[in-house]
Amino acid sequence: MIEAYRQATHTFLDAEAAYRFLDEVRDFDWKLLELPTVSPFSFAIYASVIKENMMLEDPTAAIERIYREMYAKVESVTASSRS
Amino acid sequence: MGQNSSTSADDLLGRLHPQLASWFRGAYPNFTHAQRLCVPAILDRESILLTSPTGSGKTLAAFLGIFDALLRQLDRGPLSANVRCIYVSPLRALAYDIGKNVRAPIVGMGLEKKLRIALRTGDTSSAERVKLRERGAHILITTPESLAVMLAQESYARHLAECEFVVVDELHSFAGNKRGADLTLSLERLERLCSRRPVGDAGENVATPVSRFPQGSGYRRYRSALCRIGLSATAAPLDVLARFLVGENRQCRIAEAQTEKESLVEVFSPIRRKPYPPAGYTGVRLYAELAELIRRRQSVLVFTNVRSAAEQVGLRLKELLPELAAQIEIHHASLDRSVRLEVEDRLKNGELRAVVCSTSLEMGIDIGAVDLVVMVATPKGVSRAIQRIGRSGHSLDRNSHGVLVATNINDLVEATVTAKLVRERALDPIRIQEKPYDVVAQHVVGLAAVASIKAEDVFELLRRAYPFRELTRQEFHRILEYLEGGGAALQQQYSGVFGKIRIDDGLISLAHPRIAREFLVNIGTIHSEGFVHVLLRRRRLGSVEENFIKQLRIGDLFVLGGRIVRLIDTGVQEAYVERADGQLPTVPRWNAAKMPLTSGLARAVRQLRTELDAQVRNSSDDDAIADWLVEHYEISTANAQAIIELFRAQLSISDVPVGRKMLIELYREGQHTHYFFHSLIGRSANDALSRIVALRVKDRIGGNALVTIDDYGFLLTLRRFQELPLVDLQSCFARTNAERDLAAALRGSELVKWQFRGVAQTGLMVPRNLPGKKRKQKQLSWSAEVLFRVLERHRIIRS
Repeated sequence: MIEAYRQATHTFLDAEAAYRFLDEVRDFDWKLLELPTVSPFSFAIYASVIKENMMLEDPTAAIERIYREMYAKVESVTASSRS
Repeated sequence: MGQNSSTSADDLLGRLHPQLASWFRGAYPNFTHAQRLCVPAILDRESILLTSPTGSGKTLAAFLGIFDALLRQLDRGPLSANVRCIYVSPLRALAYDIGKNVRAPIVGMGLEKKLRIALRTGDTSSAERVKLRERGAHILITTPESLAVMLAQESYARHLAECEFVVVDELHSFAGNKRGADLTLSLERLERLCSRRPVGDAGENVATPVSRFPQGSGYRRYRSALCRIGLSATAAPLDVLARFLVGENRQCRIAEAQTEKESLVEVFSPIRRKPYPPAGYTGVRLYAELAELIRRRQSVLVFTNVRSAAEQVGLRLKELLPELAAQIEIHHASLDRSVRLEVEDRLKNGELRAVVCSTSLEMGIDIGAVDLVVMVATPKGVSRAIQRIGRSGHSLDRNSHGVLVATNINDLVEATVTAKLVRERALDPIRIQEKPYDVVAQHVVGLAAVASIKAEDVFELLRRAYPFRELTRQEFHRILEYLEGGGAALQQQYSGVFGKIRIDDGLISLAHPRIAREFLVNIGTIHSEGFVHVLLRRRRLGSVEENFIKQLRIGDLFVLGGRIVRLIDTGVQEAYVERADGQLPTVPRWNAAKMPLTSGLARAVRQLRTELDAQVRNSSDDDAIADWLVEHYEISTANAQAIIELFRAQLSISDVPVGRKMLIELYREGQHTHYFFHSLIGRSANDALSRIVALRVKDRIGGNALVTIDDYGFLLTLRRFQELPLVDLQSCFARTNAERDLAAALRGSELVKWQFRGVAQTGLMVPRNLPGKKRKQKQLSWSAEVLFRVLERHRIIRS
């Protein structure tokens, strides 16, 4: 059992790297931003959730479609903030 | 550890046995750099780690020195039929191939009647095994598992006691895993066996009894008996790998060879200036371009990261190239071995125009006909990319050529950085798997299977192997206790069932003679991973990989066959679910087979983000920034513009997570709130981190939390009522009690249970096979399941 837990935390998961991050992150500059749409940098992880629920559409086409929709929102947000 | 120094070709030829030098001059125009670095060390009987690009003559570099030693021994008379050199291969297919390659110089020198080569792998027939035991061989080509089997049997081991050289090929493939830890212990056992040989006697015509390990008269002094040779194209860090190869407190030269041939790496992406093309555009164009590449090239190897993608890409290519469909094949580990071997043979013979594989052809046989390697989706590591690219132009006079294909804009950023690091050969450091206890258990039984042995001697032997250098006495004694009767939880009632050894006056011996027979059919660290049937009441919904189930907890929701289901129990080889229509899945199905980004690559992506963030913030001249990207990262202008546009879009609504900035993005959608945590620490670390944070979030607010991870962060999806302010989110990242919370998060998880299955098999608690009989997957799973429940209950009671 000890070895199974060791393997789970040190081989399958990288617990050491996670702990190192926790050590450092308290001194980071934290920022919580409320966004009107998913940001381009967050899209990949968001798409993975979307893709999972997408059963009837070709996943590649679906992701591109959603990406395009997301980008249109980004552009409209940018345009309205400029005006 | 020694340094890089190269000998001139004339000097080296002069040092070789005349017969070998003559053969070499006839067969090759000159020595490669790898050979000039490596051969002198072997002639001096010094262990060496040689790292050199694929196709630079590494194998011959190892064997030239070995042939020299054998020829000089032959000058003194016929060799006894004992093994002088053991070559260890990570793959059976590679072992066959090397057997053929090594035979060529032997035939070339007319030594086929004097030097015998034997192959001993899991596929070797009974007749061949008997032949090896009776007739012996001088060069033995084998795998780690077969080597361990031989070491545990006197009939084989007596042939190994005169071994002088060990070649470990593809060393990097062993260094980061349990299989490699297992190999290092086998090498220590081999060293122990061979160190009984008198110094100065290379073993000619001496039959050494091995089970009694004679001491005293006739054995003057002892030395490190083996010259160990490690070969790799992508070894890093070299000093650690050298110690991994030779063990603690032994010398090892390190040689880094260059090659004259070029290795070209390019980034290709159908993404043009607008990174958000019309739906379907990227996929269609990608396949069209891939088809065109295959048309233009002689033979193309296409790597995908997962098996399902290999099937999908292969099928689309066959549809697009009907005239070449018969010359396009698929290769991955789920295919039957005979199918894989046929594909490998056809590829090697130049009969195929394309093979689409997952990771299955990253190393192995020489597939010289391949002239281009394409990687669809980034390989998530620099060493992996170099290894893959090296599969093309696999000969001294041909260049390697790799193309990284990015299918989306995020992939393009990663591919851009990967290509740069490949050009710089910035290899990923390997993380050694430290002292796996189940491997120790296996070798204790293996040692006792040959003869009774002092516990103290075993402890010393174990600690000489690099992964076990920090094994404590306390840990060792707990392992012995486990081997005596299954440990504290099982010992009282089941020591007769689980006891493998007994210890009398510090001397370890087998508990029963049958243990030796059972042990021989259960050696090794590779356990079979099957598929799990998902059952909705009595109806079978489908199958999922065991790896996927490993990640689940009871109550998790996932999608299969278009249905959202909740895991309610796991059985022997089944997962029981109930319908959960309309609910939010807690685990995305497709996360199962993803490879984690290496830490070096994650750092480099962060670096690119930092540099681009600064440039985009400080300048509106996108052409100048694109020029900078093209110049520094060698990508097309169109791709550079797409990346800049991505950064501008990100900055227009959010921020770029760089440096010491912890960015959390909140996006509300319907009844749900998504928190995007941008922690750029790689998938495996994000997985651990997200489990800790999700547990704390649930402790604070209750309810369910959907966690999704990737290499750049994780996403926490909550119900609206579960929203947390920044200060509460920050508190979920406290370092205090992180270990405790991760353990709590894992306590109910399938991950530990499924790890236990592998550990129980390697640690000999659940036998994979019985003598003369292979156990069914269902039986294995059932045995492990019962034990897990008993041990987990014991653990809970104790805690």
